[in-house]
Formats: sequence, structure tokens, C-alpha cells
Amino acid sequence: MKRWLRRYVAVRSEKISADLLRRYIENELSEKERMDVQSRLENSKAWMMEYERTQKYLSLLHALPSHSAPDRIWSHIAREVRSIPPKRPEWIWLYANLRHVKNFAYGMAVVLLLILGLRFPFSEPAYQVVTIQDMNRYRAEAESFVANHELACESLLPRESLIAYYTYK
Amino acid sequence: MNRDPKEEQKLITLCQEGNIEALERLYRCFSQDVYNMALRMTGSSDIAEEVTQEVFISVFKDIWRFQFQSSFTTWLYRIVMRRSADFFRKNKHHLVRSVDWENSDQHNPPFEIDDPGPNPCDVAFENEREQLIEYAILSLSKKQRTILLLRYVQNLSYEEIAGILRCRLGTVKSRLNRAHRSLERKLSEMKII
Repeated sequence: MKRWLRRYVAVRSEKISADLLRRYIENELSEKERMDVQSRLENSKAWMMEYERTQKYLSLLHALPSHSAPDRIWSHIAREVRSIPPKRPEWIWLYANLRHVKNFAYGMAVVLLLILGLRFPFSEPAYQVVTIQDMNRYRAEAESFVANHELACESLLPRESLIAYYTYK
Repeated sequence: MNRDPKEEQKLITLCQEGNIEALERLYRCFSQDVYNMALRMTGSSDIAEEVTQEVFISVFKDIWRFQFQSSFTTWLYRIVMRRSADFFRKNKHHLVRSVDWENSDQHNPPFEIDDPGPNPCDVAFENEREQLIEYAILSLSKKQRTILLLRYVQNLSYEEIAGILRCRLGTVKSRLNRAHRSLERKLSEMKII
């Protein structure tokens, strides 16, 4: 939008834009822009001169001569290439072939994960496991707790007697 | 050599199997483009020969990496860019001051007595003008020169250039604009345009 606005302002403000003319010559402008530049060219001599200059400049670029590579280059390359065998270790060859079955491998991995998920239902809640030892420990503690707290209202002697009784029972 | 995509693909596959004849055919097909690019990037025919040589040796060594996901031209020019960059890195002290156009004489034999063609003065003038243009291109920054050569010497599209330089289309266009502005200024200073 910003670029379009800048170009629009450039055209409207009579400023000759070489970029715009270059894009016009190379057929890179939209139809509206093209028409706009065309009308400028028809009405303004300065624009026409700049157009001719840009066209000359572009023709110089297009007319740059092409040089053919000297024949001796290939003989150097051939000698070099024959002395160095192509580096292609076996595992790379394997990789190059395996990449064709990549999608199949991904698919199989997803299926395997689904099967494992169904086979081992990880989503079920984990129940607390209480061993017999734990239960016994709890029971022993409970007795001691009862002895210490529940009998708090008893007088000292029977309480201690009861504690001794439950502890060494 | 005519570039048939199927033929090109076949040659690349053969080359991936280590076939040197296939490499030679690929060389015959692309050597001129690679050499011209290297010549204009480095400004010296000797170095351009060296770069071309290294490019095709790299092609043979690394062609197994080419997976037909981009065009071969894009991949090849990327190697040319890398090798030219290597040249600039190795020769930081090297300043391109003069243009060494040995081959230009081969294409435009300037003075032949039996030749009824153009006036020798015109030919000499034309040669000098070409050299000045080449010099102006060489004096651009590396980025600007690369983009200008890819566009106007190799005749590549913006998309292909973006693929080679690994940048966005907008970057290609803005960089090309800047290159044009610099080159136009230089050519104006030389009174060529």
C-alpha cells in the first residue's frame, strides 16, 4: 500500500521515475499504472527523453556479450573427477532411498502408538496401593493415638496402664 | 545445447550414479552460463576458469544432495555464488582494478584486413564501450552485481533469483532497483548514457 502510494505520488507530482519507466519497459506494471505512464510519455517531453535514456541503458545491459568457457576447463575437471571417486557413503545412499518411504513410516508409527494406547489404557486413574504392612502400621499408630488422645480425660494411672497394655499387647 | 527438462533430469540421475559422461554433458549445457557469471563476478578470466572448474567438481561431488525439489539451475547458481564468495573471502586483499577480458578479443576480432565488415574504429570503440560497461558492473557492490547479472546476463526471473539468493521477492526487487540506480549513475559519469 505504502509502495503503491509512493509510486502514485511520484507519477502525480510530475517527478520522472526511472524505476517506473524501467518497469514499464520490462512490462512489470499493472494495467492502470501502464496507462498512466503512457499518458505521461505522450504529454511530457521530459518523460519521453528519460524513457529513451532508460531504454538505451537497458539495451546496453541486454547486449552484454557472452563469453564461451575455454575447452581446457573440461580436461581439468575430468582429470580431477576421475581421481576423486564420488563421495557417497552407503548410509547416505540408504537415507536417499529411505526418504521415499518416510510418509509410510510416519503413518505406521502413528498406528503403532494408537494400538499401544488401546492395549495399555494409560488414561485410567491410578488407584492408591496400600500394602498389608502399611495397614498394620496404621493400625498400630491408631492404637497409640487412641491411647494418647482418646484417653486424655482418664486419670493418669488408668491411662498409663491402658497405654502400656495397648503398646505391649 | 538445448535444455530439455526430461533430458536434464536423466543426466542428473546418471550423474548421481557417478557417470562422468553425464557430467560432461551437463558441463556442455551449463558451462557457458557458469563461466560468464564467474567472469563477471570476479573480473578475471583466470579466476573465472578456476571457479568454473571448482563449481563442476562440487556438482559431481555433491549431486547426490540434489533432490529435484528446486530447479537444477537454481542449485547450480547457488554453488557458483558460494564458490565466488569463497574466492572473495580468500582474496580479501585482492582489489579488482582492471578488467581482464582476454576472451573478448576472440569474439570480436578487431583488425582483419580481408574482413569487409564494420569499420575497425567502430569495433575498437564498441569494444572500449563494452569494457567500460563491464568495469562499471564490476565496481558495483557484490550484492548489487550478483543480482544484476542474474537478472540481465542469465535472464532469470525474480522468483528464480529469490530462490538462488534465498531471500524474499521484495528484497530482490528493491536490491535490483538500488543496483540499477548505482549503475546508471556510474554509466552517466562515464558518459555512456
